[in-house]
Amino acid sequence: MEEDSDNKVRITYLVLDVLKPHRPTIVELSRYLAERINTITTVNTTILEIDQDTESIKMEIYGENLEVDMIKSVLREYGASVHSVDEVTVEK
Amino acid sequence: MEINYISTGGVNRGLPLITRLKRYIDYIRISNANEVARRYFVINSFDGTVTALGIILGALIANIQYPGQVIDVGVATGLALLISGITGTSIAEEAERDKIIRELEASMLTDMRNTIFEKAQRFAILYVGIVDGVSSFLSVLIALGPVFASAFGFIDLSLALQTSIVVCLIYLGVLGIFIGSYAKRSILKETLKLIGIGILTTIVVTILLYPT
Repeated sequence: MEEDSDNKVRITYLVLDVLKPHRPTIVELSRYLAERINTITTVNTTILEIDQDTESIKMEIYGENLEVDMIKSVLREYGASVHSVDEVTVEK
Repeated sequence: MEINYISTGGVNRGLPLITRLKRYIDYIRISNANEVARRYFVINSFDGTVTALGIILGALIANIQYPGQVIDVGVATGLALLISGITGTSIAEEAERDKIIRELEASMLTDMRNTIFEKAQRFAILYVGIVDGVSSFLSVLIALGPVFASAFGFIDLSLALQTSIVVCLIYLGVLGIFIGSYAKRSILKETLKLIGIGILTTIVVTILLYPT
């Protein structure tokens, strides 16, 4: 089905449950993500749990047209692993 | 969706120098390599300087007449320390970094290959090895500075060797200042400690080897 560009559905908000090593820090990781993907406008990261080697974090990502696979790929490149997508906002 | 940076699949070739340098700085930060490199810098600068002190004292005691001979021995020793430092430390550091990566993979339940974390650990191996080797080599060259001046005819060899001893003690003092600064300890105490070791070395070598 052809999409009318005016009715195009876009992901504008995501909440990800992410597991990462201690380094890069959440500041560095959030910065890398925002620098690497132009359509991301805001990244809000919170640490949920810390253990000896890793930290569980929640990342709230705001943007114009977010692609989950691309974000996962960039996070993977920085040593982080996305466990789940906990929230999503889609706009039209 | 536009990605600002072109993934090179882990390869830094083709990137502008500034970008590459920034990436290496990131690697150093992520791998905490500076803490290890600092330790190796101090240890090997100290080793190189005391080794050079030994060479200089030996040359004085043996009454060597030609600066070229002292330079040959000194530079050969320095090069051996350079190669030993780079290779030995790289081998040891590789084992440590591999362990860190494997432990993290076990904790993360994921393969960490080709992630920035793994690349940072690999970079740290090379970085720490180079710091180790270069610091001892440079220490020897600095200590031999007056002897090089003698080789070019600026001063006579005996004065050059005595000046080299002073240069070694000063460099040990500078190392003491460095240690005191970053460890937030008494700079005076650290400086005197290292200079004291240099003086002790001089006394012991002279007493044991000076012809009676």
